Amino acid sequence: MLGTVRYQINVNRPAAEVWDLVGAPERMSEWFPDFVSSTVEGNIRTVRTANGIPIPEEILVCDSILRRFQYRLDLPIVTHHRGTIDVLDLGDATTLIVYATEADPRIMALVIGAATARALREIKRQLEEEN
Amino acid sequence: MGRKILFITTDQQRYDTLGCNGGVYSRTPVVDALAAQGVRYERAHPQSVVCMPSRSTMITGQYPSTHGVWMNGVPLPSDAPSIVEELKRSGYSTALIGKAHFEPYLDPFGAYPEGRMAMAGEFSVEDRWHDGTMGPHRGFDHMQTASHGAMGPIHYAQWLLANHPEAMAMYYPAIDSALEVSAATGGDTNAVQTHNNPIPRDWYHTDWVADQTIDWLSARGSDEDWFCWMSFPDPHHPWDPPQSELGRVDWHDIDLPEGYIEDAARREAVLSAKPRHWMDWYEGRLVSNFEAPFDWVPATLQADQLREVTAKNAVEVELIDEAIGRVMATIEANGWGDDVDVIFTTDHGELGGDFGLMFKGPYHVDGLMRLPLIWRPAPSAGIDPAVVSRPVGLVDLAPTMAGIAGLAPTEWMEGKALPVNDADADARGIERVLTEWDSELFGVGVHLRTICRDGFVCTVYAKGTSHNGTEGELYDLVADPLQQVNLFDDPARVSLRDDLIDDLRRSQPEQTMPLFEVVAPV
Repeated sequence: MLGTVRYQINVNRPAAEVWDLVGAPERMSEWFPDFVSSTVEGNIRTVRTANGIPIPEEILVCDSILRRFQYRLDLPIVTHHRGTIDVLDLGDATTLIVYATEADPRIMALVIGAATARALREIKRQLEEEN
Repeated sequence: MGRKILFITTDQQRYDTLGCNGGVYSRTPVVDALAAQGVRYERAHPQSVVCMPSRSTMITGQYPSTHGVWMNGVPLPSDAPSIVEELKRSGYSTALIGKAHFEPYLDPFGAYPEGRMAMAGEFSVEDRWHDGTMGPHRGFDHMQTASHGAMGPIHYAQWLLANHPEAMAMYYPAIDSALEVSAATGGDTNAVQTHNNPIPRDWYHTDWVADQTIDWLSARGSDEDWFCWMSFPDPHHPWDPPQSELGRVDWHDIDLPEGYIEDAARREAVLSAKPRHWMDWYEGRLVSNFEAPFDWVPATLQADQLREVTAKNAVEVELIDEAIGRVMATIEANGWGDDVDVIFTTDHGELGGDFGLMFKGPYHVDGLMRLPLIWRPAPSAGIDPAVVSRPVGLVDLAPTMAGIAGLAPTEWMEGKALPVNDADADARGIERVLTEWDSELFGVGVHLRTICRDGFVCTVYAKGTSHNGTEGELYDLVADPLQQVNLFDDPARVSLRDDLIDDLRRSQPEQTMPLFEVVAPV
């Protein structure tokens, strides 16, 4: 059964600056608290969890014009996954980040979605507090 | 040297499963003896009828609206208030052995300390406390976790894998391939979440919890003050006690539970007089949360299946009683008998066939709300045995433990120390207990608030998937102990109902906003 979860956050920084961080696939572990490393080879990104588990992800879209990043993670218990990050310029030097997770089984949408919520908070913290 | 505290919890145990509470299926001489020596509570309610919010209430002394764990799958923040931190700060050695569940079991990213500790084979981790200082996670020097089987990031699963790997697959797999609560059937009657488990008794989690508790207690110094939370995962489903023990209670021989209405037409008439989500679940149209198998339709439950589930549940209760007996013998052998307070309770109840339903959910009736609660004060405290009929709650445990340790209740505790008899309750104005339910999951929302006072239980509903915000339930617990007659719209009860609702609104804490995120199903 498919489940969809979406989180969003406002960041008080320009969209281009936000995209520089989230649009760089090798930098994911800088802002995704549950991952300790991220490496990229071709269109495959491999992230590693705090438990030491490697998770390969296929990069589907990395569009710097639309500021959209989309990927699919590859875990045995997940039959379908699509993660989509949209970085939206609000026109006042602030940004809305929307992070959508679609997964089957639906339980994994809940679990992965919660991790994306933690990631959004970390992005906001880094960009607002460190600038 | 102060009073030591053995805090015993079970999971999903009905009030009427203990002999001292009139139970007929299980023999529970050890807990019955504690009740005879101490204070037995006849009307103890949880502040939530599911695990994570209820356990969070036990440790924080707060309502779910305050501590923020508003449904299963919402983790209790590491720096939430904790009575265990207060005990640790005052010099107690502290442990939790068994089911913790302040944090989710499904934690594939290793985001939470409970799971990380178990997977790393560690028993403590430094963390931030409520007051901003650092100390062991939630105040526990030692955490050794278990759950309902061999799945998940828990110490028991790691122990079983290392010592008896052949037993890993003996348990009922509680979660199916879609990660939903399994609806697989088994046992002798093809009952849901039921299984004849070939595991030897001394490998089973109940005895493991007692064994680890005995080991931890045996390492304590004779003058050491200690707090030990011994937390049994049973008799929560799945109902899969060791097969060797099934002869204790033969399901063929037992009567059906009193709350099970055998006549289907009458059962459905009773359900139809309750708010809509009762019948919707019974007929398989609505599953509002992860508290019951997604693919199981309660209307399909057969009488013999209920007999088998009831019997297996009774076996699990007996095993817990015997395990407590072994721990009590250790306490006596160490010469601590006069100085140990024992508190026995559970996090919530089990529908157990009432109205043709099993498991749990947003249904605030006695099956889920009326809990076994026994406080055997340390004999050295000189508190007389008593039976308390006034309503109390699990929110009252933290201030009770503080009192045992000689500490004043902290400002964040929302309960009152448990009364030692009815006169004490009356003198301190203890007359009501509240219970909350909130769930919002994949588009299905259910919200209940309940008060129990003066022998009545009254529940109001907020707007949700099945409710328009005007529904409610009102039961007379004396005239209708099985809660089969909903008086909410009875014109003769309007004044009483409105008074209870006013009291509920005045007494209920404001909900902490924004709501914490749901990060997992359980």
